[in-house]
Amino acid sequence: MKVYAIYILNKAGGLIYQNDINPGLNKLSANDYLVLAGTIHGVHAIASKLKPTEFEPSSKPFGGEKEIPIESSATFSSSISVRDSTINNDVVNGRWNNPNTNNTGLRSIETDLFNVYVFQSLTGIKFILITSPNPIVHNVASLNLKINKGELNRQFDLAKEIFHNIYVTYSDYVMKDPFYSLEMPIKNNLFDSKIRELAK
Amino acid sequence: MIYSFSIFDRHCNCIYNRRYIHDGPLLTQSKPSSVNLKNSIGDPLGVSITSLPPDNGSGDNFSPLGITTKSKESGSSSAINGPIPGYINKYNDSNASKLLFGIMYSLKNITAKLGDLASLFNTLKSFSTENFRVHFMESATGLKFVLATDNEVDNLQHILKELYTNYYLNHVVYNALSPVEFGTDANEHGKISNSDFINATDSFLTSLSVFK
Repeated sequence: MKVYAIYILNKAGGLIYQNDINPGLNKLSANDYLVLAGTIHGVHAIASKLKPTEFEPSSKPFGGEKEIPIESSATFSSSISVRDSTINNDVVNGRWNNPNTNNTGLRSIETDLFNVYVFQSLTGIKFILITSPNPIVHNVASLNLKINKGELNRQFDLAKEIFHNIYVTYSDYVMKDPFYSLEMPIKNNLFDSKIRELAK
Repeated sequence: MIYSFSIFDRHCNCIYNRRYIHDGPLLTQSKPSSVNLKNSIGDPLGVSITSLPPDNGSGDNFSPLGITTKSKESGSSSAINGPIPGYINKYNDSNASKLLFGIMYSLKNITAKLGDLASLFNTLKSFSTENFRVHFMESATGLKFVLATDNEVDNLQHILKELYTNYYLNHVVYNALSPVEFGTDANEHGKISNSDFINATDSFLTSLSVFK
């Protein structure tokens, strides 16, 4: 999986960082990149309205009692519970879990030419990763009715790994920069080079 | 697991919408009450959810993309059309299918912009959220074939192509009685209600290994 580009969006969907690491994507005008960022931001919000409706298996017996659906009980609390459940793991691994709050929104886009992955932090910052497509999944012979399962999920796990590293780099080199003002474009050479390094 | 199959025409109308209801002992059936239909999108916490009694087909569950749309059914038996449980052409004008079309349309545009190739027709394959994946194919005439599945299913392009070439063409396009343009008027011709097409696509999709 080759990383083509990394974008960072602020809470409002504005493009605050853009790094086209490897060639493979069309060069767009600056305005088009803003449109692109806004579109992904909007689609992410719309996609979270398309909820699946299976609820987690409930231990409660059937009956007339009302229950709050799991999806509705605020994404924030569910992300907290994820963190709580992994604390023991983190103690063992010595590493903190991704606080990914992207629970219901757009997660990935697969096309012939590239894949897009979206990661949202607790504070609403979106990290967008554009990578090369997966040849195993994309070159399926049209007559062969065998359907791959789970390969895209495995590739998403790889992307999650990269997101984790980007997030750590972001925390270290952008958030700890005393001259950085929140929600504004990131202009930091050190951050640039670190991102370039980890995407290689 | 295949949740639903829809076809959109080039005028953004959903001309066919088929939802499948899967049996699953672990899934509880619950449906939003009919009180606040409008409210159910903007304010999910305001919707009261009631579990149906266990004798009422406990295996049924909503297909994805469904919760925001409809009021309570009188019973699961009324929801079943034909041998395969699910809904046929029931949610064509629902918000869910409009939102789905909007997402497809936007993603198609940005994909075409970003792709670094001369031929940029039909490059978008699928998108996914945490809970489901949507597979997409567009024909040269602007028909959009959409399958919603769970996240495990990787690539259904050949299935979508098959649905177009073998089923849509044979049962709808070659059918002299079916209209050329669906969805332009609000009468019964606005949707594909051809039972041959419905039965054939149903048996094709249910025969797939990924259906369950």
